[in-house]
Amino acid sequence: MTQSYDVIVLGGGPAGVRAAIAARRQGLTVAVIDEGRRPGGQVYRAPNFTVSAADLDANPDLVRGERLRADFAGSGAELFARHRAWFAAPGIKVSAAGPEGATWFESRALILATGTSERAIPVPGITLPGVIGLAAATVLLKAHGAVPGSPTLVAGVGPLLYAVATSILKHGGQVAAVVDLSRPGEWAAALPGMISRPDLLARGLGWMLSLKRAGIPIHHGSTVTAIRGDVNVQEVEICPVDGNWAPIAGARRKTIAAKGVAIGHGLTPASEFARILAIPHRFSAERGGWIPTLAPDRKAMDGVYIAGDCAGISGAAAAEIAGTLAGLSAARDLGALTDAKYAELALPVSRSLARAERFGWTISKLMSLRPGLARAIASDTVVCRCEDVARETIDDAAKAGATHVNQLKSLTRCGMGPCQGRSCGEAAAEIMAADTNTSREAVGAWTARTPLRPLPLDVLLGSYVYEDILKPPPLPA
Amino acid sequence: MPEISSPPPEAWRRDPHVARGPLVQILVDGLPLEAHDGEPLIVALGAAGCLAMRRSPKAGTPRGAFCLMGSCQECLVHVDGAPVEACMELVRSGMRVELDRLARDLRKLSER
Ligand SMILES: Cc1cc2nc3c(=O)[nH]c(=O)nc-3n(C[C@H](O)[C@H](O)[C@H](O)COP(=O)(O)OP(=O)(O)OC[C@H]3O[C@@H](n4cnc5c(N)ncnc54)[C@H](O)[C@@H]3O)c2cc1C
Ligand code: FES
Repeated sequence: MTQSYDVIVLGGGPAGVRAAIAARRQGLTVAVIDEGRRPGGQVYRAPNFTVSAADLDANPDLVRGERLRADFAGSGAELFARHRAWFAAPGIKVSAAGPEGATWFESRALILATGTSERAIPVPGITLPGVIGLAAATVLLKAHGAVPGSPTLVAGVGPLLYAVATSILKHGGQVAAVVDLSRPGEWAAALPGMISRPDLLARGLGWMLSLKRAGIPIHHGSTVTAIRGDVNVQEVEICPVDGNWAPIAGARRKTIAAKGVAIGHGLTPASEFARILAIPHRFSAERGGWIPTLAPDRKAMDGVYIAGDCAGISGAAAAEIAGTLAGLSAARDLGALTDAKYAELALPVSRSLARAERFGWTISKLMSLRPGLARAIASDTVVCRCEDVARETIDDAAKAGATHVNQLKSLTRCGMGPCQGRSCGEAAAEIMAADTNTSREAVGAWTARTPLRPLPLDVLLGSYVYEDILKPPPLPA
Repeated sequence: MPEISSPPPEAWRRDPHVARGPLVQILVDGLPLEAHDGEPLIVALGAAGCLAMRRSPKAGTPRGAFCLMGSCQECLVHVDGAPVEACMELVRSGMRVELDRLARDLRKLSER
């Protein structure tokens, strides 16, 4: 059976929820598809435990999340929870796999708000059980109320380092050390951009201060070079980096005992739906990777709008506001809002978006990947976790003449496993760019393929015809 | 019900101040394990020190949860016979969890 709506929103994070509410408020019928059980997305992930008043007091994100969920519940938009979208075509057609199999949707407008995935540039030992992503650690802490193996070494880049380390202490765990690629000077340089959101700035400074007070060692300008242990994490080797994030040859390496590791090198937009719809993309290291091109009103093509971090990393505050703007734009284009009314409603929204983006872009710039990290990956380190493809295999493919990541994929199976390249895409492309002495623009991005997410075979069988499947041209176009 | 009295240091730990569902029993590779009703399966496994869910299909190295958001597929286990991501699945009383079946299946295929 096909479900019909005026507007389909892919993703129920801050961007998707605000988009749905804005469109619904103009009288449109709206469905939100999300693989989670409740709205909230990553930053406002709904906890899996009973929230107490003390929890709310201690965590402003939880308060925002609860407000987001309450607003959504009162909006009249429908949520298809536990539904994982795997197909989209202009027109508009979408399919999502839920507990009862595939549901097909048709609509007049589609709003993409699928968020991000975490980037983790591999080091030896990163595949050891007990090593989790840094953004992943926020989920374990805030949604599951649990801490990783203690003491935990927290490593990578960006404010999540300090959020995670503080939260581990708060939930009763221990932190072995924080290993931050950025130097204090780089944080200081980011201050002017962060002043647009004094509340968020104050919270970040509070995290750093409480770690200092707790005596947690913070190693600035350093990276993890190895995680060691037989079946579990035992110790972590760290090393100072240069301005390109390459470990400095000959610098003294330090070994730190730890039982768990949270490691992450920024976020990258989940743009697979925009890519399958053949929306033009450009590469922006500062915004997390390949990002779709769109108009200031969030329109990317006829009937398709994009909001939130999947359009380029801008942070949670900007995601909510961009979502509202996308919802209003869709309502205008569907005739539910006059141009004059649209202009009146959109103006203040655009203004506050600019302010939130100033903050978000400053952070995403601080986290933008520098080439030294991936260049330093050792030959025998596994890059593609699904297919066990080591760096040397990627080097060999480049030597054999591969110049685009699609060629790398067909030569080596790198990125062809069940995660569909979400885990290794960034590292593989960085290595290719280094090996071929070109750029991320030149080596392109993996062409998105339907199904866009792993699916049980019975969901797929007989549910669509081959001609329906889009085959977008490879990036760069 | 056998209890893991002192989980190893690498085990994940539940914050005792967080209000969770009642304790129920699940089966992991045939052995009983206590877990909270409605908590993510990955937390039940992690808190028991069971961090390795599977082996990588080619090199056979142990793997466990990495992304906790249903993306990396490293936490794939079988629940009541069907493959699921342990980070997205919630604990239900009596659920039968099998680890590493995927790796076993893959090995069988490659032996043909
Ligand atoms: C694991 C993780 C944890 C994070 N934690 C924090 C944090 O603690 N603090 C912070 O400031 N920032 C955090 N971030 C950054 C985060 O990207 C933004 O802060 C914010 O959540 C962006 O909002 P959004 O609406 O654009 O996307 P998201 O909040 O990511 O929402 C996207 C939604 O789309 C859904 N989705 C995606 N693809 C599909 C599909 N194919 N089918 C169905 N549903 C789909 C997801 O389930 C998700 O609910 C985190 C990011 C990640 C990846
Ligand atoms: S931990 Fe990545 S899919 Fe579950």
